[in-house]
Amino acid sequence: MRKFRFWKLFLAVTAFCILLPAAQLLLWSIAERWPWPGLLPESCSLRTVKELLFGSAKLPQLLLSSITLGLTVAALGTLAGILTARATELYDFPGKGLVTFGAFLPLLVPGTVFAMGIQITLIRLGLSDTLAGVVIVHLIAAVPYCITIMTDVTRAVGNKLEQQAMVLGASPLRAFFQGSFPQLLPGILSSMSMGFVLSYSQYFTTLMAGGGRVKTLALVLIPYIQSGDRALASVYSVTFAGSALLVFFLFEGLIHFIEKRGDGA
Amino acid sequence: MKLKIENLTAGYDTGVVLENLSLSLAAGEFLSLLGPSGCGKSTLMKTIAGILPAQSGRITLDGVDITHLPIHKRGTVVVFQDMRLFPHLSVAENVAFPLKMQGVPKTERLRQAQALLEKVQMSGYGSRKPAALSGGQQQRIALARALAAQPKLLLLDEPFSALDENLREDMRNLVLSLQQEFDMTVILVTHDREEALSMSHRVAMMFGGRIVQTDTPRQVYGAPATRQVADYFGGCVYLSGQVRQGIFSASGISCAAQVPDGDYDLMLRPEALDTDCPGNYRLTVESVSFRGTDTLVTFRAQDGTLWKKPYPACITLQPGDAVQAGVYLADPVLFAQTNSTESPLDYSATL
Repeated sequence: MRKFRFWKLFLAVTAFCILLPAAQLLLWSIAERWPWPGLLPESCSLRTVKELLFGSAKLPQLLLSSITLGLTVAALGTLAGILTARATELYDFPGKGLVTFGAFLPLLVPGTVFAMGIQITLIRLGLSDTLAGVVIVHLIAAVPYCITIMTDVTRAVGNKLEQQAMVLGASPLRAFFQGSFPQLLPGILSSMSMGFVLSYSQYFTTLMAGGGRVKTLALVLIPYIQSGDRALASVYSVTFAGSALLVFFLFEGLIHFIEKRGDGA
Repeated sequence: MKLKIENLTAGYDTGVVLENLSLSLAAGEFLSLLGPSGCGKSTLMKTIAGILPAQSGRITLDGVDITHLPIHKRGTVVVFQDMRLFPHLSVAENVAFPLKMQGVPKTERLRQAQALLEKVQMSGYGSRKPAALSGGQQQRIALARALAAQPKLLLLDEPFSALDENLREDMRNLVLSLQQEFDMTVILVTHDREEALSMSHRVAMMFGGRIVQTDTPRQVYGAPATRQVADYFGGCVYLSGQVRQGIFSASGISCAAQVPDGDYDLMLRPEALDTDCPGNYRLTVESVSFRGTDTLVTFRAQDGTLWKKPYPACITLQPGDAVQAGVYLADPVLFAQTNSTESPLDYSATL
């Protein structure tokens, strides 16, 4: 009973901290005038929505480039995650501990610090101000999470089914796709969701590596927040959160679909 | 020879498990690798299948050197103890899997899978998922799937140990009938004495990474090469005595022996003790314990030797009874006495 009450309190606090500001954000997006201490805006308009859809920022292109970038980072990060997890979980080699530690290093160093350093490297490589450069920098942020997720899943799945497939005549690559891949798929989608969200919400690293040429939603959103046009910042925030959630739900839906198909006889 | 293993050495990073091991198998032969857990029998099976690389030595299958061939090109198929059915595929797709790998068209491979499912008496289950089947049914599917691969050599890794006692018997019979029908060469890895003795043409006894004896079930049981082999089958009694001029004699017993003079232990099994035919071997009944299908009677001989012999449940012997028994000595097995005080390993507890 007591536990239950605590749970309710926890939910209430969560709702208060997340749902209330989110609802406020929705209101702010259409508020024209909202002076203190009014509970609701004095007047509303669709000015910000018009600006968002038909303004100078070209929303469709912005969304397209952000989502494409996010998905690229998600896919590459997950690939790196799968390969690293397989190396550390299924094989023994000298320096294994170092690889594991190295994979988690970006988690320990703040993004701002490594973004400075990596930019010098990117300039040397001629990758500064390019999409490839941004992908690399986003990957540094996303890969540790992808590795963590894929390591857990790989440990649980093991290589037993792969071995069985090989014994039955499947080449190693086919054995992976026929044996382990279907079992890893929910983990792969989780890892991709994580990679996507991380890339989608990068601001400083995108700015450093992309030099403003690689435009993402986050890149356009943040100056609006600073400019003081609350209504416009709100409508961008809603778009940002909404589009990220949409992709997230797509992944989640895919996981459920696959899991359901796996359970059914 | 179908399979020939010469001077094989294999193992893990932690150490060598198999050292200089040799074994050969004729086509259509059913061989059991029998030994306690940790004796290296699973390691040997993995090395034959290519899951574990050989460090040195040679493995040939049908005259082809497969020592360094990748797993999927060897034609050796393993049925693992944990079945390892693909959970995302239906039963029929599981059985058709090896055919899919061989590039057989879908309708043809599903037709063949159906035929194999009939062979393992699972014809109605093709569209189900493995998770919806019981352990015994899963084992049948795993077997059908292995057959679909048309293995040159079928390796069974303790396939029945996860099953209930009454299911095991059915599965053993099924495996034997399929082995005969498809004329397959089979290696069964097991620690179950009865299973190895009842199923195989030959039994290879493994201890400590080495094959100690390879012979027919009757020979490994009746004429064990070492004490280890004898003890593995359990219930052995050793009578110590001497051989002088071709005659072994111990307290109350003597028999012919073609070995040099010296101190020997005569190995006897409970079957050798015949209490119905009076002889000059004197025993006292120590205890009688009823076990359902039989009654185990423990005798103590005059020299202190303990005999445990099962009798039909309706035995009239009582503790304290004195018995004069005959000892059946057709093919006596003698082991030279060693000076070491090391007691023979008792595997009966682990079985």
